[in-house]
Amino acid sequence: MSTQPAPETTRHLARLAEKLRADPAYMAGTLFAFQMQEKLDDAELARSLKLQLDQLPRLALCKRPLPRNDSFAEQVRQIANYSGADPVTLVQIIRQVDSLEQMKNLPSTTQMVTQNSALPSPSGLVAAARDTEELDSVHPSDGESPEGDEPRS
Amino acid sequence: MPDDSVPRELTDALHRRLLDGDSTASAETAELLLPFVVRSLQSRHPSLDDPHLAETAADDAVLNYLRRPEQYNPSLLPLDRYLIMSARGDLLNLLRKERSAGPPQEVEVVELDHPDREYGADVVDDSQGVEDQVLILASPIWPLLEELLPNSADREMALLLLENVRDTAEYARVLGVDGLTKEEQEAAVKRHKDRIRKVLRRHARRSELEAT
Repeated sequence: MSTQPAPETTRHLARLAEKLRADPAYMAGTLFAFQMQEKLDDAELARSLKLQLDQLPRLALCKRPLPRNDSFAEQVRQIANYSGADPVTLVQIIRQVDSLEQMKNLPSTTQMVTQNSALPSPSGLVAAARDTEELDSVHPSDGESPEGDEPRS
Repeated sequence: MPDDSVPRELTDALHRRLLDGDSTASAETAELLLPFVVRSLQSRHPSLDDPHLAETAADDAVLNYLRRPEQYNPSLLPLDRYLIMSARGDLLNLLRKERSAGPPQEVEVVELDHPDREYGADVVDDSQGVEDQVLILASPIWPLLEELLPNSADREMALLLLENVRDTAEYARVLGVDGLTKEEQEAAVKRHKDRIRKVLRRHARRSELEAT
């Protein structure tokens, strides 16, 4: 399903997607977090995903796949197929936002020293690294290099 | 009727996928139903001071459903009707808020049923029909629809009434009499509408008496 919706429908979807920006359960939340991290506007984000600007709302309204989920790659493919987004860039965006969220949730060094506790195992980060290997299967099989997929830093 | 119904099989399938946590079901549901709900509200409330209120109400209804799909019971009514009903409730709430934030309005006397019984009520908009008045006066009717009208066709008829739908063909379709002649359809629809209006009015009056 990649037929472009009517302009009026796109306008409604864009409005709804904006209301979901603070919701981490949806791609809208992930895309917005990525835009904040990378200081990208909508047009730049759409370009990096190889989408037209008016295709973004469809993507934003999808549920956000969780990298630790067994069906992560399958979910990303489904979303990419529906929205037209580049699956490789999609995976990179989700991973980056997820990793930074996990880091935010780690206790600070000061907190750990104060609590006199042993260093916790950064299991989330290890899992994220493991996901990276597993999700390489999402890359196109023809070995084509995903130009411009690297998020800007 | 400016908006046709969305095929039931489509919305039922989307609902199941949403419950299953499908990744694109939320976007597909919004794409299919949000413009439909907005159009429906705008066509039934063409003279809103702020036309964006209809969009806001439709957004709220769709978002609530996407976040809590388990609250929708497909056996009671089709998803498109459920969302329109929900959006309409949200719209009336928004209108109430706007009204309470604005300058005080005149109170008019509204005759609800018997000529010898009168109830004072705020009339928000002269263009609203008696069904809107009943809805505003008796908001508890929403969760009670099932109790008041055990027959699902009656409930759907009531929703059409509360949504201010005027087109006889829409009611005829719900009643399953759309194959009859126009005159027969009109007669059957009128009979059923009158009966349902009576039930709604009776409940509105009872609610008001219980509240005093």
